[in-house]
Amino acid sequence: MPKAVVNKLLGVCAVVVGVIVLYVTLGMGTTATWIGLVVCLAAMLFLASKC
Amino acid sequence: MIQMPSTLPPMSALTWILAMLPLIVVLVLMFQFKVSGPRAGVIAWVITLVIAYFVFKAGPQVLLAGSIKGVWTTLSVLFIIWSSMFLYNIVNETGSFKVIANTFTRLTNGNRLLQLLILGWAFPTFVQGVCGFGVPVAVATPLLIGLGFDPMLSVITALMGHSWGITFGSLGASYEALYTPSFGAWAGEWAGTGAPDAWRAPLAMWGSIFIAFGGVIVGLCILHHYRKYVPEEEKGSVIRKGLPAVLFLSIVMGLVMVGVCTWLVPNIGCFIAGAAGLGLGALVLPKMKAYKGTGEEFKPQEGTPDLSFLQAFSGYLMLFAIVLVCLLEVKGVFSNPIKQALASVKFGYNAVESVTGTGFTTPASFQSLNLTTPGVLIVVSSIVAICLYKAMGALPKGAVGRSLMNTAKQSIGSTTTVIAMTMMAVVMTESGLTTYIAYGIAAVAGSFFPFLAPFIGLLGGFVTSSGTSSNVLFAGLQFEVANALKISPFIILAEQTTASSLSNSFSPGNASLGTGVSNQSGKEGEILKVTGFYNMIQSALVGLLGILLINVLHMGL
Repeated sequence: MPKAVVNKLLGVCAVVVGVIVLYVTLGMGTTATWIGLVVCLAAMLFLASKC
Repeated sequence: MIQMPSTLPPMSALTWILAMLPLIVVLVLMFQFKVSGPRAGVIAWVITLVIAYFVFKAGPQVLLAGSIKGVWTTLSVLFIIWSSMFLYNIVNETGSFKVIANTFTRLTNGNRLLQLLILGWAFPTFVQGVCGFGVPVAVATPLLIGLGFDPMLSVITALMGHSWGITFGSLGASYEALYTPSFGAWAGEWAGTGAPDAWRAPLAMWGSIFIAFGGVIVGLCILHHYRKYVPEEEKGSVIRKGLPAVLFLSIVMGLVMVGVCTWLVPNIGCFIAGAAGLGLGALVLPKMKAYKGTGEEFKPQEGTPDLSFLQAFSGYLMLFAIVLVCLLEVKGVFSNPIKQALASVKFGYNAVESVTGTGFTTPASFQSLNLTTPGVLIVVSSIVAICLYKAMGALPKGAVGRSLMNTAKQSIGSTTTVIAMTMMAVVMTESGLTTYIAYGIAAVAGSFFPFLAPFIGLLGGFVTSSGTSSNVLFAGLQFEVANALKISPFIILAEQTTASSLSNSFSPGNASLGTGVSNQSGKEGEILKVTGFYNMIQSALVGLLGILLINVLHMGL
């Protein structure tokens, strides 16, 4: 499979993981919520870097 | 005078510009700096988080809940994208598209104008019905070039020809993206009242009426553009010769579109309209006196498989049959037990209530998907189609693996764009930014808004190269403005989706696809110049129809 496609697939996987972390941290208190948001932010930036 | 709700910051020009900033950033990054869709979406999402937190007092809970819902919202759309691309690739592996093209070339008696209209307008509409995302352009353009049409004419015709069907094409991905951020966003508030479902019918009806109107304009634009490619002495007669065929096809496809979307299933409106245009156009038009053949012998394309038309078509016929069996329901007349059984199998998550510091509230709701999701039906159809083609001996070795690989290559680009754009759009909506923008526009545009609405849709389609993404971006905004102005949200959303569909002929992404499949790389600007001209006229006419229906006839409420 071409590298560009693999990179984009990795980006999508990162976002899915980031959103799962978000869901888990939602409702666990303010600090956990901020951590979840930072993880999701990192995942989205990873997606952007791969596209 | 329209007042800003007390749950939002007080109305000010600076706050309004800040609320608009994520959209402006998307437009500038993609249009001016040629940044890819996913990157522009992610950057705009980050800006949305910052503005929502500092200006709209949306705490981390609101930002998180919106981001999660954004990704969830994309699931049904992405499922359609991936599954329909897979089905297309399976059919393509059998060589069936050559059989389909040969059949229609023979049926048109070699008449050039009929070939252009049927294979450049009705055929892409049909393909759009089951598999959008640029595939109609990728399939119809080489067919037209193969028949001897100028490559530029072929690309522009296929771009315009497929565009009008986008809202109710791809088994309704764009229509779902129109409903979800507008009426669907109220589903939590109206849970148990049946109201969101009741709003689907008028939305589909008005949407299909405007789309049918767009279809007439598209046919006339194709005909007008064809004049450039005929000898000088024949230019004057092109419109006269082509008008009966354009009127015939637009009436057939338009009426079928409105009928299916209003009384049957909106998700297959484009599929059936395209099939009707393709079938009736090929069978009836060549028998008209104006379109008799020259008597030249027909030569089929090289490498055409030994399949009958019905065999070649069986993959999509199977899809048509499965969709009808599983989804067909006529309210008050026929209740479909299969649909009810499939709808009862659902999965999802409980979205919590989110409240900003100013009191802007998004109620808690159960976000769910069930087995009537079009993507599920396309996957089932693909499996049946694989079995059928294997039984006919039409599927080459390794075809399924290659189809999966090609599907990943073709779908991943739009997947990343849809995810990034939807996260931004949903966070904007849940933090109150979209509502704030809507009230700002409503305060300024006033009664002129029905004319302005299609240009917002056009903007979205141009930027994202996708009617679906345009609806995701702007359907919530259009809905809010219509409610704020107390005019029909159905007609405003119909204008939005029609313009965003038609603007797909004017989007850089689709133009690049067209130049790619026609070996004309670098001529995107030339194509956009032509389609941009026609698109402005199309949007203005849609806006005028909106003004007529809303301001003059007071319809749609």
